[in-house]
Amino acid sequence: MTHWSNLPYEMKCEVFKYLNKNDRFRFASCNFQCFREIFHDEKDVTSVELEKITEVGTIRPYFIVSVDGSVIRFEQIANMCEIKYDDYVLARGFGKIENTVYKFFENILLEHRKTVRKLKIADVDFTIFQDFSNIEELEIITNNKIHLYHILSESRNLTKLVVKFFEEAERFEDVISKNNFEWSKIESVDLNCNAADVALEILDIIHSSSSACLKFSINGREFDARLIDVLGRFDTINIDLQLTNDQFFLLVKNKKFELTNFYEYFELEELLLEKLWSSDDSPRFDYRYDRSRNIFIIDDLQKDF
Amino acid sequence: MTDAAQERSIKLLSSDNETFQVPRNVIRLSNTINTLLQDLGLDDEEDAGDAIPVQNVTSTILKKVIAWCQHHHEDPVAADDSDSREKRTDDISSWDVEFLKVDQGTLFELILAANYLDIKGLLDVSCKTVANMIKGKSPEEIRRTFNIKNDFTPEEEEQIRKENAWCED
Repeated sequence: MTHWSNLPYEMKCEVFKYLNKNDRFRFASCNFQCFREIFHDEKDVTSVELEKITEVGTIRPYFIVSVDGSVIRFEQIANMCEIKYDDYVLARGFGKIENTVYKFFENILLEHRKTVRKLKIADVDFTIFQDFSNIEELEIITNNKIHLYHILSESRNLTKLVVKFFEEAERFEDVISKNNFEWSKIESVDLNCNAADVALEILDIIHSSSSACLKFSINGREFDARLIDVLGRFDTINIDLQLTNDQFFLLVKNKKFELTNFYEYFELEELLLEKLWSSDDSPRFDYRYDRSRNIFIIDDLQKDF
Repeated sequence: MTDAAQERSIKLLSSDNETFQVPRNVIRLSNTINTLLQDLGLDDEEDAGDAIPVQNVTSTILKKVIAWCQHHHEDPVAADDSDSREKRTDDISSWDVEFLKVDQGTLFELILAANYLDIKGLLDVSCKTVANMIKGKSPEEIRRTFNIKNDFTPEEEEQIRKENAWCED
């Protein structure tokens, strides 16, 4: 039986011409092949095609773009015809389509760099941005200290910085300490790193020159016990990690923190009931569960603990 | 067109060697066959001779194609709609809708045959039918409809979800 995939490209195009933008986006997000069929071969993306992709606001499946501050996935974007990049761009590339990602976002961000004020970006060569002067809020994932150095050197009006390092993060001391970046202007820094030595290194440098609200996020597969000594120096701790009971209590003793654990919620609730509540069932401290965010928020953990 | 001309016919030979006698005024909807007859100087001939091989079309599909041409051969010539505006898919006649209630394989074969034989009307209506199978569906529904495999493994998808969790706040 002839399958869709057996149809020649020209025949598929005959079908595509009857699809509106939304349908084309949705079809393109079915798989990589479908995307290429809708938007031609990414290996030779012409400027015209790039313009077309930019114009209609579509992206590769698994890119994530934020529109007016809302983070959404491609499938959701497919429901929208118009995407505005003026305010906020979040880019995320994935493996085999990296070149497309690069070209796509290079085009968009170069074009809009004067108006983009918030930027979330990962896995692209940040050095393509020669002018960060308008960026006020920046969130990056990077494992490349050259990129980070470039960003920090070029940023002039940054007030909020979120740096999320991969677990294999290199040592960033030379990046953070030797550039001209004014940490004192930063209001909020969110570090996401599971390596205690890297966290300490960063913390020492930042904390010595900034009164920024420091948020530390643990998000990974393994917990580095040495982090416990570090966490007390952060204002907020965000944990998305399965912890043992002992690790949990060590963390609880430190600070108020947000506990994000999508998979262990019930287990942790049971643990809370068992360990943290007194025999008369009255909690020793206040905690709340934000159902919309699937997150435990425990306030004032020092109290009566 | 004279009655004689209407009654003239040609023979088409399917890929599985079945012969079909088709009135000329019916098969005129195929530009491929028309051009072939003209090029061979057989356009005005009473007898076009041997069966014309239609190598890429099976007897099952050729029979359907001929049936479609039979129904539409007196239709007025459609205006050229090659502009770039979004094209309608809600204008398929009820006869065509019934005609194209076939399994997906047959539908795709009809598209291929219509393309090979250059029968624009059949190609258009077949493609519209496929487009209607896509319209309004989610990517997952489209995948299911056309048995399109997601090119990421569950492990890769899980990895993507993990990698992207940071921005879902």
